[in-house]
Amino acid sequence: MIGNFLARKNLLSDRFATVCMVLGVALGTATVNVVLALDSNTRRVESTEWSTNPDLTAESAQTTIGLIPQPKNGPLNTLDPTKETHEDYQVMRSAIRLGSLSAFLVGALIVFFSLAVVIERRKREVALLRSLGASRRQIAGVFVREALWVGIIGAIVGFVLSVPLTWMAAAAGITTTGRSRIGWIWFPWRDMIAVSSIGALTALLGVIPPVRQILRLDVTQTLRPGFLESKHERPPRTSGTTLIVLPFSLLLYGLMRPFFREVLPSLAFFVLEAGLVVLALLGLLVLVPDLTRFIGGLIGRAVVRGPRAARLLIVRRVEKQGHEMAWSVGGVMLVFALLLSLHISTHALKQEVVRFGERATRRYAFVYSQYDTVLSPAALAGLDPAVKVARFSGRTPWPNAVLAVRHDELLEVARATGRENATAIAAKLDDKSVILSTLMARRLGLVEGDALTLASTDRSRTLQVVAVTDDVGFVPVIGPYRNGKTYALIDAANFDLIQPFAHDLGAALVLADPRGEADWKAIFRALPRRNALIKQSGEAFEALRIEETDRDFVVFDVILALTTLLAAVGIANQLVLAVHGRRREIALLRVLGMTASQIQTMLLFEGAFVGLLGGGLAVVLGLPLGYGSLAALRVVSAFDVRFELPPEYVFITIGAAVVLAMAAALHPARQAAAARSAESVHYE
Amino acid sequence: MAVLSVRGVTQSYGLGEAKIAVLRGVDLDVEAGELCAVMGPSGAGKSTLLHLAAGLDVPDAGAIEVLGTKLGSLDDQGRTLLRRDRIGIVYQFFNLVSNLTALENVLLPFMIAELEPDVAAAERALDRVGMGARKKHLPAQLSGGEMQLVSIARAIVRAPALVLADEPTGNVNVATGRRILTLLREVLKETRSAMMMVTHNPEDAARADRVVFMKDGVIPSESAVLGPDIDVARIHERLRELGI
Repeated sequence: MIGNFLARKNLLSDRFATVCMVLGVALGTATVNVVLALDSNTRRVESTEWSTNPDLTAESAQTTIGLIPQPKNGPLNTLDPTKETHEDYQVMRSAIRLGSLSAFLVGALIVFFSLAVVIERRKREVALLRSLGASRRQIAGVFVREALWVGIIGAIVGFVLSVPLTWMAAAAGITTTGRSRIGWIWFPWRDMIAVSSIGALTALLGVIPPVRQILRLDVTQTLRPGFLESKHERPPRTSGTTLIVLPFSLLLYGLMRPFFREVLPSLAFFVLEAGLVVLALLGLLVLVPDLTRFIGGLIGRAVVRGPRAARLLIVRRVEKQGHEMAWSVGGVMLVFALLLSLHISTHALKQEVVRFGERATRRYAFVYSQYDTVLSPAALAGLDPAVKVARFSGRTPWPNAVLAVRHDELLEVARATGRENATAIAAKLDDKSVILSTLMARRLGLVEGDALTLASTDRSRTLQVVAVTDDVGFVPVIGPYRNGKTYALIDAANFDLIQPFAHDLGAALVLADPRGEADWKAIFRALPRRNALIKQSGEAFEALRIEETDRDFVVFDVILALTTLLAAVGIANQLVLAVHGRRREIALLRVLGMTASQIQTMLLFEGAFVGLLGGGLAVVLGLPLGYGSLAALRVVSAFDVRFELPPEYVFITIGAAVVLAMAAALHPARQAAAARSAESVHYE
Repeated sequence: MAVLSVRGVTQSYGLGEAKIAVLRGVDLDVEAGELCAVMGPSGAGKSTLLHLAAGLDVPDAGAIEVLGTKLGSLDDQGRTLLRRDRIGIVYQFFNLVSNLTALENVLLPFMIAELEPDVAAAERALDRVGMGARKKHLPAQLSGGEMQLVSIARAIVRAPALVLADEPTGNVNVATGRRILTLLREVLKETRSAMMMVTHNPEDAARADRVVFMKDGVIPSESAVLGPDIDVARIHERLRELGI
């Protein structure tokens, strides 16, 4: 009875904190639910499509050319092609699912922090209740009920919110792999209810530590007037053991990593590493209070400018009560570190496209079809004679993609680009040789000089691998980028080998203009108009692929946008609670002559400081995180992704963190400036 | 000209039936160099009057002038600046900023006014209240009386024309209370500041130049005790007469 009454009163009196906690649970739950629903639907759609479900190709009859690697030296070291692309996307899915936990984590941080502060603030009230005869069970019951209500309301709001959010995401073309489009949505209700229940449980877990602490409080000591307490409060500091455990664990894992890498499949290895990264992030949060105090104090002295009083008060607050700001700093750090590492990864992937474009697509133009259109030589009669054309056959079905081209046409086109390397490689292709793209060579475990046997339905031939390169032979395909880059190129003289599975020469064209900058639009006009015939310059292909990279990762951006929103809620909540806790100090400053705008500026400064420190730590953490994600990407995708940090990313990360934190500080700053000082300063 | 002049000030709190008239037409002048003690029962409106004089609140009616400036003609910003530059306040509860050392707390008025912090003046003020040796200590490392001495140093560091003290000895022991009152009297003599002190303690009030009594939101002018009449027994007698 008394429990419900007080719990309701408490929740209503701390409205802002209550709303923030509910939002923490709701947005965290909604993010995970949306990702869950999107991923279930992505899988459902992809399972029905041949290009995205490798299992569908497992038929008894031979459906594509057989590729039998014949390495000159060493054992056969091929990869399972049926799993290859599939695994890439499994990794991406796992990353997205894990990424969605960031919102859950930040939401939980808000709940844990709010409950800790709100309960700490009520310790006097608790002591009073205890002195009036309330039992420990009754006291705990009040707080458990509060947490339960916050958790249940938050989980219900999150559950309900996830439905329209999933619809909106699917309508915007967002999936967890970027490969398919979700039509109608099927919701995994049972999983979503489970997630929402865990969300509700978070609030219950969050209430345990502060309640345990408050039940141990000394009633007489707590009921003494605050000004009589002369005990100097020491902020909690990270123990030496904790400081040793983290680097020790890192060292230990570093030693064990090669072993795990060898014995575990890529996906399991990725999940292991991602799990460890999540644990490391949580571990780092332990260090944030100390970092906030020490680094924050240094930065505060060096960086914070503005009114003298505000500056002094902020620096002192960071030094003495930095642990209180650590929750916000930790949240900002977590969110922006993830954002930075994500953008380091997408930047690296885009740079990979650019580097690939420099070798394989720029100065070329491509004509290919979605519906197996084959252009005969007669159809090319209208083309400008100066333009060189290589007619490629269709590709044999995935995964053993082989295509043929006349070696003389390939050489002419290569020459027309003016690239010596491409010309030299094209000159090597003849009826006894094969050129492998780097991804195909990796899959087959072959290097230049090895042999490859192509086995058709009734004949086979062994060809010499004369080049492993992406410089010649690339033709875009409809489907995943990675599949397009995995091919073997043979001379048209061997077309009979792949003929049962591939369309004739003319299924795709590669064009190059030796005169330099070609007007491809004008050139394309001379080609016949056919249904779904794609005519594309190399530069246009590159731009499209970069766009696709952005689209593939947009789901991460959506997750992190929700997490960022949560971080802002967390900062606002922390500042509102801090303003409430410091209302006497703020009132005193007003009494001493600080104007309302000075108070407001001071709070905004404090917000900016949280952003600056959180953003700075995010850069420090985001760099190794980004480096690690690229290492994982290299392992699972075999793409040549290189770590590169555009300097503007550092400034954008810190700048965006500062802007976010300042925006979140606006409401608390206004609240502090508008507070009535007379009462606050008069009474203890 | 009175440093503080209060004329016909009324103030109410709450709305409708819950509305309570705290001040019902208060008149009071405090001259330069004068220590005026205000006594009265709890709820009489003493602290409300002090807050109005500090410009922390605005009266419903009436006029308050500080050094000839009508507070009613100023907005919040104007009142804040006047308070910052001309008024020093001492509260019953020591009101120090917990993260700042004693010296930094005393330097705060300079910093808030965007002035070059006058460390020498702050140290002099701390020495004046006998806290020079504790200037690097945080409030949590000081006793209640010591905190109050630091807050007095802060109130006088910029030599304000008006000092408002709300039960300045209310939470310190008797000896420290006496020391604080002696100190405030000395400072007043040196600086010719005016001081309005709200107190419940007849002994403290007996050290004032004038004692006025508040009852039911007014200060009956005939009730004041002043000059050679002031002693503890006379104050007790007047309190009895007024039924306080």
